[in-house]
Amino acid sequence: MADVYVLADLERGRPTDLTFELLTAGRALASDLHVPLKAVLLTNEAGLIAPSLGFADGVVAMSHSSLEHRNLEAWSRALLKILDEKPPKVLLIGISNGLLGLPSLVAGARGLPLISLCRSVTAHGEEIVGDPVLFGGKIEAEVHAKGGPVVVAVRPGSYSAEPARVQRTVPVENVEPPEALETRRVHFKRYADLEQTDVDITHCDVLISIGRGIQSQENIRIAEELSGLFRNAAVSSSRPLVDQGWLPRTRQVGRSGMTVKPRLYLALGISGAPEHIEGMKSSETIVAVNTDPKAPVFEYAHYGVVADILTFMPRLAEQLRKRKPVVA
Amino acid sequence: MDVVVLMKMVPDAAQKIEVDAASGQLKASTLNLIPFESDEHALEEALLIKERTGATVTVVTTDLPGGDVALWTALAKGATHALLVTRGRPYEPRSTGELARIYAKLLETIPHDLVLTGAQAPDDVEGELGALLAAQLGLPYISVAVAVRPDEGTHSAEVTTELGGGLRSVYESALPLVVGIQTSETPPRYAPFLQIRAAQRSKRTRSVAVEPVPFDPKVEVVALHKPVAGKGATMLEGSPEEVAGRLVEILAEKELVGG
Repeated sequence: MADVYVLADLERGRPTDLTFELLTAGRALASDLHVPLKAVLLTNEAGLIAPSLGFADGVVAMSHSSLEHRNLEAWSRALLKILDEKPPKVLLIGISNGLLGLPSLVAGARGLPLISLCRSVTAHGEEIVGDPVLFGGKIEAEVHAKGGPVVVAVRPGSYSAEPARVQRTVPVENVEPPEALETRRVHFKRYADLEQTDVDITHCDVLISIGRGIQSQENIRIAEELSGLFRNAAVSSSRPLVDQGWLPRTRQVGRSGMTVKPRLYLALGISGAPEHIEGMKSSETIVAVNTDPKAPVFEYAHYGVVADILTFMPRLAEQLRKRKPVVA
Repeated sequence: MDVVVLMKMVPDAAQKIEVDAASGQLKASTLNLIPFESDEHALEEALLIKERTGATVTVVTTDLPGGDVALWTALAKGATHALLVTRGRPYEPRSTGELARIYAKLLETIPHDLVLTGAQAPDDVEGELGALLAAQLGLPYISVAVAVRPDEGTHSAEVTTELGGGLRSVYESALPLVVGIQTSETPPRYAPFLQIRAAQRSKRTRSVAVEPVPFDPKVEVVALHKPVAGKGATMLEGSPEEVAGRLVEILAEKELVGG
């Protein structure tokens, strides 16, 4: 009987939240399919990490020095050996920046069915069904895969991590590393932290976060003025503005940027692509302002305003000037 | 040093994307195709490499609407060669797997030390182009790159990747190598309209017909639909003044602003 596998996503040797989210997803899927749930652990020293994956029924582990960091070439070669020796029914891989591309490398090498960009995965009888979210959250799809093993790439934030944080001793099946790891062409060199000389947006109480709706670099000063009306506030943004060089990378919220949890997140002219939502959805109060009443951001906001931010921001500033800033 | 940039045309997500209720497919008539944003960054990174090393930059896309303009623009920005792959098929939101096979075949005829393309497109239901291509060609792949520094002497490249949360990691790889670009080191340059027109007139864009590649899709897109609206936000309505006033009252109730 084939298992449901969940690949553990590790950052600096520790399972990420995404690992536990996927274990939660994997448990439901394994129950539907009446098969065991196994965590797949690729690292330099599997024995140390395996007990933190105690929510799974077992761990399939491979230890090798080249697997210490998320080297896609080493990880894909390792995964392929595991899939060849112990093929599962389904393999779930989270779409973290560190693992992006891995599902395609594995599925592409073996001609396996792959459903990517998924927000959920279920079993309809023997068929695996994924629900990908496309085009910045504007379209959803229903995709069916037959045969297998089926590789499913799941978006972060799709499942709750909490139920899966179980520490216990689990049976570990060790798989010998393939010789192909010795002839790999990609080598991890080092980690590099982004220089933090700018304001740290992860420590702000209020974020005035701007997106494409700001229209021009000159207009950023309107958001800066608004930010000045709150205490401990800063201007942050979605990815396109940073990519244009309008704001430093330290101000970017989302998967490739920072994950923030301010008391107030004011999303101005941000449509709400899933990658952005990942970085701000835990904010205490989210207010979204967008010209498009169907913008995905309104699904995640507590309060919404359909308006052009260039008209709305000065009006809001006017009202705020009548009050005293209190967030300390 | 030969750098190949693969550009993909995708629907502009900043505009309306409609689903035809009867067929469950995208309404082709309402789609505005634009080059995928990260592919524009891949081109910029390639042009930076060209400026530093004198590399040749070949840009490739398919004959979807707007593909020709994307190539003229790439030439105007400084690309060396531009190739339009003719498929004669409309846009489909699931063609990345097939595209990888087409490009794998094409690359048999084009010299390539580095193949750059966007890290993850908004329609990559069946995986990312760069990774699927690398799997086809048996080449190493590095994703979410924010800097690519090839070294001709050692025939290798140092690639910096963005992990999020301010953390980056640096890899070294032998060439040839496929790289999924997240963002270029500097923002994509601007191509003046007159230079784009000049590139169009120069007829430097070459069309290449590829034979149909046998492709057996392993998954089936059963339906596309608009997201089902959940509870969503409490919408504040009225004139901008009224809404701003109401919002500030709400913020005051939550002690986010003073009285």
